[in-house]
Amino acid sequence: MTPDRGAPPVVTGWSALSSLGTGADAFAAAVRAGRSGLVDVRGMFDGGELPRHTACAMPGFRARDHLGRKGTGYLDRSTALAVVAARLALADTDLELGDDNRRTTGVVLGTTAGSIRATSAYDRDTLTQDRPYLVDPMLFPTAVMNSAASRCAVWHRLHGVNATVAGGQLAGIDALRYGRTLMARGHADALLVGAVEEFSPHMAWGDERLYGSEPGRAPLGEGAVVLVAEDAERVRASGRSADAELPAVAFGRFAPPGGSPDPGKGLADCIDRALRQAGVHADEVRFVATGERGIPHLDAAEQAGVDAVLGPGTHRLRIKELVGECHAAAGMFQLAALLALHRNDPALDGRTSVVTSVSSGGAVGAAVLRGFSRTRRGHAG
Amino acid sequence: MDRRVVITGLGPVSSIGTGIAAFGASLRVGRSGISPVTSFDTTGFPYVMAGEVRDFVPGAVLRVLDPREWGRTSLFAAVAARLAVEDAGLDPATVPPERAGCVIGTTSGESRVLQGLTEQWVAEGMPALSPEDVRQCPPSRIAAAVSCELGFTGEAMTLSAACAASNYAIGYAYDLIASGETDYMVAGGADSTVRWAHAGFYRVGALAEHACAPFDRNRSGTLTGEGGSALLLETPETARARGARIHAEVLGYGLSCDAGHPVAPDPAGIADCMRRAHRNAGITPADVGYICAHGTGTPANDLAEVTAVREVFGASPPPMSSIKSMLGHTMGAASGFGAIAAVLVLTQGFLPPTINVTEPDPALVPVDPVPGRARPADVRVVQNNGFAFGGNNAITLFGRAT
Amino acid sequence: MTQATRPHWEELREMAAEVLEVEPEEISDTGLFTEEHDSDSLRAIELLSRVEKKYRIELPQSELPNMASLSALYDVVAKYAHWHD
Repeated sequence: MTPDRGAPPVVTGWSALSSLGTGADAFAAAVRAGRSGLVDVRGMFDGGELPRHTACAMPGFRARDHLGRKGTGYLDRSTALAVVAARLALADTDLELGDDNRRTTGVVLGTTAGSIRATSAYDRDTLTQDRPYLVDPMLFPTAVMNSAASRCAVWHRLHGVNATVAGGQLAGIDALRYGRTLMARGHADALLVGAVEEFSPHMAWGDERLYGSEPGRAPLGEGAVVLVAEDAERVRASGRSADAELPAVAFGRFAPPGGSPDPGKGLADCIDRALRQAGVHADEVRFVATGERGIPHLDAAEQAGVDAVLGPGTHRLRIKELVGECHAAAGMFQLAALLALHRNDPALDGRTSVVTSVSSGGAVGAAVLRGFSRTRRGHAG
Repeated sequence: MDRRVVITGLGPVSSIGTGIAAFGASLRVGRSGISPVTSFDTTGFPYVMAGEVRDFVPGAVLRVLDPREWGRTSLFAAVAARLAVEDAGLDPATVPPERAGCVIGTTSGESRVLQGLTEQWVAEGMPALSPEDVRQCPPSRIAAAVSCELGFTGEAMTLSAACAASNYAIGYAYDLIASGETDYMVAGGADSTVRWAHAGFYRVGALAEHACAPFDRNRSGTLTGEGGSALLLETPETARARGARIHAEVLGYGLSCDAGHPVAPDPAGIADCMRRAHRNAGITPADVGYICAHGTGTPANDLAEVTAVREVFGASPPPMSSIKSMLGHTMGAASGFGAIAAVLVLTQGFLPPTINVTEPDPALVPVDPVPGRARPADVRVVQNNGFAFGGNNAITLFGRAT
Repeated sequence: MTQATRPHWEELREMAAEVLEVEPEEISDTGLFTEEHDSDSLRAIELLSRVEKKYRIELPQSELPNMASLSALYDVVAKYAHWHD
C-alpha cells in the first residue's frame, strides 16, 4: 500500500437490495421504468401493529434464501441485508479477491444506529424474561452497531479496515468521505463502501411519532447499497474500466433547517466546492439526485442549496419516490440511482452528476459522480 | 508531503475524574471508579458493579448546548470536547469554522435514550414512544453535539467500530490534518452504561463480579463503564502561533479486521494491526516504550493481546498496563482514554498501574502489567491498543513532542 | 435410555441443531459439536442459555466443557433437571 495516492477512487461494481428488487440490474430496470417499491406490510411482524399499511419494504426477504442456513440464524435484518448486498456487489465487479488482496480490502458501512430493533429487543429481554440476564448470547453482537460491517468482513473474509459510520441521512456521504480518505492515505487498496437501513416497527413508529403530521412524506423504505471502490490508477493499470469515478465529496454541519448558520447556504457551498474540486462547471451537471422526502421545511433547505448552484438544465432525480425513505441508506440509493441511469446508456458516458443530502440536524453534503455504461465496459473487456 | 499532527488539548470525563488534572491524578494513584450500578434497577442481576460517572453536571461546562435537548452520550462528548479546547487554550471562535471539525467514536450511541424508548415500548406499546426521545436517539447527534458546542462547521462524523472506535476517530482526524484537508479536529469517543450491555457481558461469561483485574491469574472478566474522551489535534504551526503547549505528537495508526469470530479476539489479527500501525508511523517495535493495553480483563482478550505482543515485540516487550482496571470498559470512549493516558505517560513520566492485580498471570510472561502501583518511566513512544467485537482492531501511536 | 427420556433427548437434539444451524439429523449422539459442526464458546453458551430457559434450571458456566456432545449435554442437563432414567 502506498500512501497519499492522488486520484480519487472509482466504482468497479455495485449492488442495490431493496423493495425494487435484488441486485444492480433489477434496481436499474425499476429506476428506468419509474416503478415504486411500495407494498402492503401488514403482517410483516408477528403481533406488531404498524402505523401505516404500506412501506417500500421487503416482506419476503430471508437471509437464508440468499446465503444458506449455516451462519444466518443469528443475523439481525440490517446485517443480513448488508451481507447479501456485499455479496451481490462482489459478484458485479471484476475485482478478483485472493489471499493477497483480502488483507488490504475492507468495509465502510453507513448506518443510523445499527439494528435498532435488535438492540431494543435485546434490552426488552432484560425487562421481560424471568431474570434480567436471560438474554440471548448469540445475539449479543447484533445489539452492537458495527454488526453489519463486521459480518460483511467475516462472510467475505476481508481483513482490511472495517468501519461503521453512524451518519443517519448523511451516512452515504460519510461513508464515501471516510472511504476516500482511508484509500488516499494508504489504509486500504479496495473497499466495500455502502449503507444499510432496515424497516421495523421501531423505525415505523419512530417516524410516525416525529413526522406523523406530514402527510406528503415519503413512505419508509429499507435496503442496502454496496459499492466496490478501488484505486483508480490500479484499475487503469490493469486494463479494467469503471462504472463511475467519484471525483469529489464535500460536507458541512450547520444549524437545523430554518436556523442559522443556514444549511441551505451551506449545501450550496458544498456543491460549489465539490464541483470545483472535480473540475466541473455547474452547467455541465446532468442530474442531481436529491434526498428530498416530502417534508416541506426539510426539503426547502435542500432545494435552496441546489437551486443556488445548479441551473434548470440539471435534471432532478427524487429516488425516494420509488425506494422510500431509507434514512442511512438514502444517500447511497441516490447514488445508485445515478449508476442505474448510466448502466445501460452509453449516451450518458462521462456525464457528471451530483448527489445531495441534508439532515434534520443541519448536516449537509454533496458528492460528484461521473458515470459510464456497462456497454463500454463490455467493449473494453 | 504530510503535515505533522500534534495534541494540544485533553478532555476526559470519567468515573475517576473530569478534566485532565483530576484524571491524571487518579491514574497516578491507581484510583478505582467502580461502584454499584445506580442508573438501572439491578434486581435479579447476580453482579452489579460498573464504572458509572457519578458527578456529571454537563451544564457546568457547556457554554452553548442546552443539556435538556441532548442524550447522555452526546453530552459526554460535548463536555469532553469543551474541556479539550480549554486545555489547549483555544477559543473556538478564533478559528475558521470550516477548517475545524470533530470525529467521535461510539459503541452504542445514545444507548441511554434507546433504553428509555425500550422501557416505553414494554410499558405502554410503541404508539406511546416519546417523540423527543426518538429525536435524540440517532448517534450522528454525538458528533453534531460537539460541533454545535464549539461552532465548528467542518467534519462532524460519528464512527462506530465498537470498542475500538476512539482509535478509529483519532486516526481519521490525524489523516485529515496530515493531508492538509483541515486544520483543527476534536477526536475521541463517548458511551453510556446500559442494562443490555451489562446483561450481555454477564450472559457470555465476560463480566467480573467485583473488580476488573486485567493480566491477573484469576481475572474473571470486565466491567462496563462510561464517559467521554476528547483530544484536540492540530498542526505544530497553529499551536506555536498562539503560544500553545504541545502535549505530544500523533505518529500514526493502523486498522485491521480479524474477519473471524464475532466476539473472540484473534492474536493474528491483532499482531497484523500492530505491524500496520508501526509501518504507518515509521517506527519499529523497539521504539515503543509503553503499551496502553486494550486489557479488558477477560481471560480471552488478555491472552490474545499478550500473544500478539509476544509475536510482534519478541522476548522483551515494553511494559503494558490496563487503565480499564480503574475505569471499567468505557466502550467507544475507551481507546480515547487510552490516548489521554498515553499523552500523560509521555509528558509526566509515569506508567499508570493495572490495579486489582494480586498475582500476575504466569501464562502472560514476559509482559509486565505494572501491577498495583504507578512507576516513573522515561518513555518516548506509546502504543495505544483498541480492539472490538467484530474483530475491529485499531492501534494509535504517540510520540513525545519535539 | 428408557422410553420416558427419549423426548428430552430429541428436544436437546433439536436445540443443538438450532444453535449450530444444522438439521437435527446431522447431530450424532456422541460427536463433538466443535469438531463436527464448527461450534465455539459463544455457541456453547447459547446452548446452555436455551437449555436453562427451556427447563427452567440454572447451569453453572463451569459445566460448559462437559456439554461438548449431545450425550454429554444430556447427562449434564439430566443431573440439574433431576431427570431419572
